Amino acid sequence: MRRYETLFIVDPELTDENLKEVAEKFKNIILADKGHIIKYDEWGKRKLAYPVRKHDYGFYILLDYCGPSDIVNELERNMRIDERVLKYITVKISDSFDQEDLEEIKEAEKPAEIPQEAEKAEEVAAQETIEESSEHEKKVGERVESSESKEEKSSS
Amino acid sequence: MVVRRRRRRVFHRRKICRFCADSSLKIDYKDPKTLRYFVTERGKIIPRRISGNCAKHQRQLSLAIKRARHIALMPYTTTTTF
Repeated sequence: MRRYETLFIVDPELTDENLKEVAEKFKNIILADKGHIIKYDEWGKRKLAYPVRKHDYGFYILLDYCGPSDIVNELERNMRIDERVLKYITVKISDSFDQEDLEEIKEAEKPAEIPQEAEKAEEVAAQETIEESSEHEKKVGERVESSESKEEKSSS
Repeated sequence: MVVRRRRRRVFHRRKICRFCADSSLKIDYKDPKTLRYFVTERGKIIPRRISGNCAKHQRQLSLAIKRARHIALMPYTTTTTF
């Protein structure tokens, strides 16, 4: 199994009922192909960076799911057919994903204490990397200066 | 003829890859706010020699920007009339 995420834009002029129907349709396609939905997220109506099929706004929906690779073909085929979907993008998040990972994610969502500890550890790690990178940058700066002086000679 | 050596001391700030310095900063195509720092006003990707990103992160960044463009989160180009 692999983990994918699909972000798609639905016509914003649809009614709430129709929007739900579209979302349900694609959810069912995933479930029918032995996939599992990890996260379903409605971003809501957003302004598009450029007009798509003469729409200036779009309703963004994010689907995070796992399943066999055929699922993407089937999902994208249906999105191409469905006129209510303006645009879609599917990105593979991880190559290997099994039942254990799925359960881990579900468990991680429940307790709130564990992620806080993880954040602290990340902060410490971030400070260390800053120190390292500043030392590295000094070396790079020297190299750049030497190459610049060469250029000056050749141009003069 | 006097050979004039150009004494052009270009002020250059030490560049740091933002993503290496701050590991909490993630490159994600779904986050156009962060990506916006790395494109020009016209929507072009800022080259590495100017932004100072490392090669690894510039690759990830350009991919993320291209994905964001595809899903209309970021512009391919802005149509400003002069």
